[in-house]
Amino acid sequence: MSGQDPVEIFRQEAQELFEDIEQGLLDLAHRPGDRDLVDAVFRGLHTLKGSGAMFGFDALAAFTHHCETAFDRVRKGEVAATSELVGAVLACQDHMRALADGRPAEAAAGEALLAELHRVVASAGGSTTETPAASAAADPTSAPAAPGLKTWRVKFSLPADALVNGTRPLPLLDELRELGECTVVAVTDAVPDFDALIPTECHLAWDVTLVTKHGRDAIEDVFIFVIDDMTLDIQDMTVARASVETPAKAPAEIVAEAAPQAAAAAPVEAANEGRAAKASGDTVRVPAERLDEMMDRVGELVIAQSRLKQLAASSSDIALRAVAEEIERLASEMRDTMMVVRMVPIAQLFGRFRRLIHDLARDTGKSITLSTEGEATELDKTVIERLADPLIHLIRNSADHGLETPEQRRAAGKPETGHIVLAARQSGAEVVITITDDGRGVDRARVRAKAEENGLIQPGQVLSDNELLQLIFAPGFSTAAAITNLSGRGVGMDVVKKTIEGLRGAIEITSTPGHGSVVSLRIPLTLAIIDGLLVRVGNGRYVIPLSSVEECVELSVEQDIRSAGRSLITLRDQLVPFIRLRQMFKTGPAPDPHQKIVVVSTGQERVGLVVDQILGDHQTVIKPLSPFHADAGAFSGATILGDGGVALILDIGSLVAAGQRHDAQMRAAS
Amino acid sequence: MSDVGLGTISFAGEVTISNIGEAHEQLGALLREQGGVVIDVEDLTETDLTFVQLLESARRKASENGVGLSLNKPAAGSLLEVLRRGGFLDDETSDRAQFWLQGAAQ
Repeated sequence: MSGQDPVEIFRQEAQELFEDIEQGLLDLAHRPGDRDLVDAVFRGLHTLKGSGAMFGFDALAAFTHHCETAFDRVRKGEVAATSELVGAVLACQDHMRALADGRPAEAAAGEALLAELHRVVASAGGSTTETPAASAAADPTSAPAAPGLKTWRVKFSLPADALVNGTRPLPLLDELRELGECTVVAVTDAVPDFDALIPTECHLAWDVTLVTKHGRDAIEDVFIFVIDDMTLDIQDMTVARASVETPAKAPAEIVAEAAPQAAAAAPVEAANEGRAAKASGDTVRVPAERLDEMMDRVGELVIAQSRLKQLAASSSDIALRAVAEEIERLASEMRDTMMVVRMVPIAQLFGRFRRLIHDLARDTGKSITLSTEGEATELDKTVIERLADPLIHLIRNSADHGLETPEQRRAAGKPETGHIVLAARQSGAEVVITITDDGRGVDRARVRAKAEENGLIQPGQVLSDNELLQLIFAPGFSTAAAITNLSGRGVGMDVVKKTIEGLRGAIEITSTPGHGSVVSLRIPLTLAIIDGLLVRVGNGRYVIPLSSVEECVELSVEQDIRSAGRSLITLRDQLVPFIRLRQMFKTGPAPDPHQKIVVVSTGQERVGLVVDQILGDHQTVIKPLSPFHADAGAFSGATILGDGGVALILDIGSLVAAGQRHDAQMRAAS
Repeated sequence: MSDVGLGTISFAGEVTISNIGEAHEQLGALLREQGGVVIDVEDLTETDLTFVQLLESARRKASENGVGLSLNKPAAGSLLEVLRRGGFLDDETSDRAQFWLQGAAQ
């Protein structure tokens, strides 16, 4: 296995930094006086700048420097964290993302963003010239006399392997110089004898006297990347001078006392808990494709284990059976562990939408708040990635079509601010995600008119409310007339529905006129391996996802005759429609005398599936159908069985919908 | 990278952490063999702290062994930049600054 590309590592870290910075900025828009948020944003920008420079992203580092400077001024109370400033930095961040991703970013666009940032900084209380610290550095004679300046003695040394690991002391010293008037003295006392020297190791130390307006935090921030491993001593010499009468030692003397013991020195004062946790190796960053590879291997293992189980079952060798059972247990545990490894909290996904709402509010002139619930709910990472686009579209729809303007809301007796709630919760082997808005609700008359206009329904055709709402998801419903620059983007709800169904999920919508709409997505936790119920219908074998199975009942010949072709059974006083899979799949000769009904459900809807035999549970490695069979609506995939045969996996959503249609027809006929 | 001559070692092109080991070996051999060593840095185009650290260590060894060690000309270009940024020229009257600058102004 080869090492990971350092540039790629930087890009991954940069993505996390961008997310942190963005969240901080969005929070700051609501809490402009929150110092912790200002510090967090500043720290994020500072880290991004330093890290970018370290990995050769010079344009990114240079651009980020301007945003960092702006936030440094916010930190010092010179500039207010206005929503305009937050918006300008957010816009700059998009440019930074492009630079970090290596996407072509126009220099002119970057300059325009910076010009806007400088304008906003100036209007928020600051001037657009360089910071006072920089001015002080340029004019050292004026610095010591200026009020508010402090003299700091900064002594530091780096671990021996620092240079090999990519740490560059010179930029650290440059950054210290940026803080104010600086005298830098390199200390070479700890450099080993020439013959004992390992020339790639770093044995230098530095003693820096810094006169600056900045505090200890700013000095510590310079060492943000290396602070956990280095020796750093920061002394406020202003205080020291006042309290100690004896003359200060020469810089070289002071460092000479400390430097030889550099490696064994006391921990750095400002060690940050978060950074310490990261450094302690609690988590490991793994490329997503490696997880995918591992999942594939586990899938193959499960198939091989299934084959072994079958061989062992037909063998009288006790030892073979014991090994087969052990392998089955281990494969099952391995599968479960692998599943957990791939799970990520949905917060990762939800976090992105705060920015979306911020931009939507700006673009529509509406006042919108976003609440999220159940952010700790976990989903397979692949599912999360594929959910992003549909959710963006649904949220845009809610903000653009669902929510009214402040005036309209006021007229309707509602608060001016519209509210969108994004919630997730686990329900069995599924996650239910809802997008709720308190807007105007779906305009049924408009939907009907549009559907008639597009030929989706006939004029005057009788439809239930649910059927009418379902028209929104019909291909061709979204037309140019319905598309705005926000929600349309050339994509209709039919594409959203198709994407969700591609995830073996389901989408539903409920809406109350004047009160808003709720779009619910039911998404399986994983797309890779599921527990299934293996059944036989005629000569074919099929897998029913176990998460959908409610119960199994027998369909005797007498009951079958009693149903008189109506395909309904009574279960605990409730009529449940059933589908004869034998007829649907046109498979096999005469049915078994004792057929079974597997009752499956999605949400509140239930339907029975009539099968000839229930073969038992089966760990199902899901393989996608070929493009030629992708339109076979009743199946969501296929799996390989232990004997090398193939079983199709039933698409429960399609089957339940078919059962509902059948039920409706029966009711209409009776 | 280098061309060892009688009492003279020339460092040319890029001498950084990537090839400092070679520089260490060659300079060490010369310090053991010669009574005086001149370091030619005229054609040095790129360097870093490892080179400065190496020469600081060499300077100490030469002093202990009574071997003369000097640059063929005052530090300039990339080398001067590293020395300046790294804080090796703090006091122009110090032995260290004299060694690197030979009395030349920064």
